[in-house]
Amino acid sequence: MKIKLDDIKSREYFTVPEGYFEKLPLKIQKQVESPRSSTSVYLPVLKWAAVFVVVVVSFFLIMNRDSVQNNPQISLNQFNDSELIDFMLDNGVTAAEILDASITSELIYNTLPEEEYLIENELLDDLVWDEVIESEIDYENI
Amino acid sequence: MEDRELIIILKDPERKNYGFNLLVQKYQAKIYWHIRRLVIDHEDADDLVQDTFIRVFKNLESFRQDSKLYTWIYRIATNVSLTHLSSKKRKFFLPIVDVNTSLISSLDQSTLVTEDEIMKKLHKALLKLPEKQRLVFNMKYFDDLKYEDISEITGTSVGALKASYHLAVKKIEDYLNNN
Repeated sequence: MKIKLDDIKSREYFTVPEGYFEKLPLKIQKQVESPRSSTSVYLPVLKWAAVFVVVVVSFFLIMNRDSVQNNPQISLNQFNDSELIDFMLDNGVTAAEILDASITSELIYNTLPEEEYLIENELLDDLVWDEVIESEIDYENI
Repeated sequence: MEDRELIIILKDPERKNYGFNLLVQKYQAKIYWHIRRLVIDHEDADDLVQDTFIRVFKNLESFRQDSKLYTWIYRIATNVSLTHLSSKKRKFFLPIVDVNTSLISSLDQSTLVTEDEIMKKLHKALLKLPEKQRLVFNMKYFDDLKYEDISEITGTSVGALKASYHLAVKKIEDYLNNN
């Protein structure tokens, strides 16, 4: 006999530790009252970002000391991403460290205050998959 | 308490904390389950539900009531969860199919589940779906939200959501019948 989803009553499969929902409001309240703990999730991320910035700037300054002195207008913008990455790899920074730092930067960007938390456009675009567009389903009569 | 009354309390600086506590009490379970079904792991869901409510608290002033309060909270929770899954995917150099494999593994290893085999199979089938199709399915099937509300949460047209749900049901039924 074929299983139909309509025949399966919707119910929760997951469970939580005993007393979880009794304790959760207090945990949230504490986080709200002490902003430091609420940012704890992002602390490791911030540390990596700081390391990333220090590493890039230090290498840049050390390796280009002369040209910086001669031309104060010089900036990191003169180098593209792959040049900077090659430079760091040549000087002992591992690929994993570079990746971690770049993910970090993106996460920090994502945590900047926003007026409203909107789902990114790219995520929304993904909601309408090709298969949906290509299908001949009669939307209004489903 | 109706959301309308809750918003009045939340907008009053002297009663904001009290109102926020009421809001957490009212929505914590729904938001937790919504997140948990997306990220599977309890510890992750626990972190993300707290993150969601902290963001709600910090952004209450900017809530313009263009949408319903609960769809706004769902929207934040959804964004937090999808961001979490995306960062997980990037962090481990994995295409999404492998992240789903790791979520299936979490499903198998979790002790915080019931012994309901058919629901376990259903969740495994869900993890074969694209992330956003899974999201739409969860909100319709488990939370029984109206398409209009899901549309407000995701910013997607009702027609596309109906089509997405319909396709998800077909895929899940195929999985349940062939596995």
